[in-house]
Amino acid sequence: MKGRKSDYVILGLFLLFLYGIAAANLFTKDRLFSQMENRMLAQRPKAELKTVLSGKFMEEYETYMTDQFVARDAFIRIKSLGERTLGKKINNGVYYGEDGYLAEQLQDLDEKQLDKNMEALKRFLDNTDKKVYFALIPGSVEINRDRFFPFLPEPDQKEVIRELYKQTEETDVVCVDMYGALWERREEALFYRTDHHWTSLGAYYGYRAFMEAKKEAAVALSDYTETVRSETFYGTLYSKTGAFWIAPDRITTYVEEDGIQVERVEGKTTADGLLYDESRLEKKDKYSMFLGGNQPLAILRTDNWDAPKLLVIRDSYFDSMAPFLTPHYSEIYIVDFRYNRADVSQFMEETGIDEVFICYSLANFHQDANFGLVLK
Amino acid sequence: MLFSSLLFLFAFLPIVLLLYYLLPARWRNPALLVFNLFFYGWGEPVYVLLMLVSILADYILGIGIEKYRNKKVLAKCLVAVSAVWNLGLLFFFKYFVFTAESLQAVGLFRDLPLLSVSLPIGISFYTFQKLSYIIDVYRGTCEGQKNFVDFSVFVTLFPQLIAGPILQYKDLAAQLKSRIYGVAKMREGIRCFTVGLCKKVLLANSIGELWNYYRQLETGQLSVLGAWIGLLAFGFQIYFDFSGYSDMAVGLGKMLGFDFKMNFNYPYISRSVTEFWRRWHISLSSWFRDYLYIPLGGNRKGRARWMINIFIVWAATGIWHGAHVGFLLWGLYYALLLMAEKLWLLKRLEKMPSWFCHIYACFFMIVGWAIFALPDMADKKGYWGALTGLNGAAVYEAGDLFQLAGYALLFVILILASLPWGKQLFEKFFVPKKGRGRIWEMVGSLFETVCICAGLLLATAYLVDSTYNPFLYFRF
Repeated sequence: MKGRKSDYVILGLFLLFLYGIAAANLFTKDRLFSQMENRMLAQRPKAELKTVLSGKFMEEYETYMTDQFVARDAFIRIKSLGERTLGKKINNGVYYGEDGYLAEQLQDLDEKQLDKNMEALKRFLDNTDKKVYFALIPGSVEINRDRFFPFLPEPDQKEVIRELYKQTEETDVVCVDMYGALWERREEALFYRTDHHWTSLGAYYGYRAFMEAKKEAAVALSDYTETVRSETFYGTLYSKTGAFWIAPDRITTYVEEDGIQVERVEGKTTADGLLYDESRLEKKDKYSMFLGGNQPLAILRTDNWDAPKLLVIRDSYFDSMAPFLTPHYSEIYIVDFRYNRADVSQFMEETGIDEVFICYSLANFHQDANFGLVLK
Repeated sequence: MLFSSLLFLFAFLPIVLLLYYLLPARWRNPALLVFNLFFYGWGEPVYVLLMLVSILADYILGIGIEKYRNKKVLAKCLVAVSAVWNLGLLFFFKYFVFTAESLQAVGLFRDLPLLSVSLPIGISFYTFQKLSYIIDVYRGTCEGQKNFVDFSVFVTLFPQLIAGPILQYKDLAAQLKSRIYGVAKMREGIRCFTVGLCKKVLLANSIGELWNYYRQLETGQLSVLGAWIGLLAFGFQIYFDFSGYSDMAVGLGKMLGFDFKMNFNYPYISRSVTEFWRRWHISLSSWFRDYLYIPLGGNRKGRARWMINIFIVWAATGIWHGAHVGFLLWGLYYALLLMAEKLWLLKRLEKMPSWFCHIYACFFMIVGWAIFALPDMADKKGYWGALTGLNGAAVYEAGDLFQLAGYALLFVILILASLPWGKQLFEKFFVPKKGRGRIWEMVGSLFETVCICAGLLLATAYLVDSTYNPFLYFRF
């Protein structure tokens, strides 16, 4: 059968595609780690009689081949762009919004965990005579709702937080109206576009809401100068979607580091920490610049030696809010109870805590299984 | 191994094509057999032996039947042995547990062990292929295959081994001996394969996500609109998944010099259920027609027998899809519809405007998919309740509008891809014919080339993305 010219062109291109990629796969070195996905990639599995017969080897080999595929990151971006072109509004649990905004889906609240955590909180409140503040921070998907598709299958976070606050009515806890403070300023950039955290500006308004709850004056925003720490921050939401067309975020800070000592305590060892750990800006997770990321215990000491001492039970949202609190306290103990299973009441007694601040994003609070363990 | 995997595309296929065409024609069948066994063994490292044994049995039986074809009784016995052997294996692996459970549920054979055997991939397909061979040899429609390699190649041909189409030996006998190769055929194969790959990876998998979303919604969250959107998504998923796989098989066959029949012919443009079954999974319906329906007497033995035959054939079609009462019900649902159409509905439909017939056919196809997709009716009460609105589900939820907006464009593409318009347009303007300028042909070829390249690239990207799994340890 004699072919037309175009037959040869198509055949040629097909073979080029097949053999080109096959050869490229053969000759590119396997990677251990994917920067883009922030995880270890699958490595070539060893064939053993047992794994071959059970088919496990084959499965692993296919995963290995996909993980180590040549130009993997580029292909993932092509897919991401394809989905975008199709008008998909969600990818990997992250919504696409206007102006390059991404927001994490909250969707289903873990009601059981939420109940447990509220029970734990109430128990804790019953057993302490210290002043306790409780704050739940709504997510970007709620505050920035005007930037997203109008009919998201999302719970009403305002209502959820109101309900949870209401459950504490019988106690002496002071609930901080984070929602109102953020909602009022929703036109401003309160959340990162590519990360699930709030920006330092968002954290400042959170701080103002906290001070309002304490009935004390907050430092005015105009008293601070904004310092740009990074212009190339691509957060967790960016990683999840691979939405490479979105511009990076900017990380800024307001509070100066002078006069604030940071101590990182891990077990029995104590090391100097930083309020803003700029070495973290070299890494993927630039948000961990605030206090240098998760750690069992961080202690902020200020020159206000006569001010009270604060214990914070928190998630990572608090890390960027912490600097704003330094003018009002002598010592701030920031505990991460995932790494630190100390007994809270004993800890409070030993350190002479005056006030407790429980500060969580709703997104973490409803599924944090450690919370109940901490406040037992 | 699936065609829609990177391993197949960029390791298996390049090696197979290279070796296949380097070898002289007489070595190609033995080589193909090795490739087939490797292909099957990759997914079924143990059951590959079962397949080989069962091939050997039918190879011997086939030769025996050929030899004793004149001694009717003996030949018949051999056919019966093969039928019992083949259907017995199929029954054991596919239906034994189901049957035992059903019997025990009504209080019989309480001590029957519920063996947990896994279903060998493709057994439903290759069993039917071997049976068609045995029966055809008995009938004399084809000769028995003396060459074990050629016979094994027929049964194990990797393009169709695990998901069809079901080949009939008589269609393939000549091709097993010698095949026509050529660059034009290659091009056709590449086109067919790419179209199938895109159908599976880009269309079926994408719309499958929507079906998954709705399938797992809890009863209270599923609205009437949502239940129907989900079902529509499933209808598209199964069509593009299955027909995509068949297209890939046809394409791969052509690359190796084979010509298989098309397995799907735009089923969703049907104007009746009868037409739907002429266009859907053609190789399966023709198998049942040739080896069950017609031997039973078809429509030639009076109206009552005709109806009974339809009933039997579609009960078998249903249960072929899986060992589950739901699939049986699905088959019987179609049996009833077909009976109604054959007895009086078709004549009336002919007088109706065609838009009405389309709506009629689509409605019953979608309801059919409901039975097919949700065979566990007791488990899926909530879904059925929402479909019918009987459980007081909301008419729609905010999530439905969100999903509709996100999938609107994909739905448009799926609808267009279900219609033959694109193909017709292309054939009208770009396929070379007398009196048409070369320029049109060139534009057509260019268009085809660009589409093939883009399709391959996109499909690869979607496949690579399948393990995209960013780990966000800093999630806290």
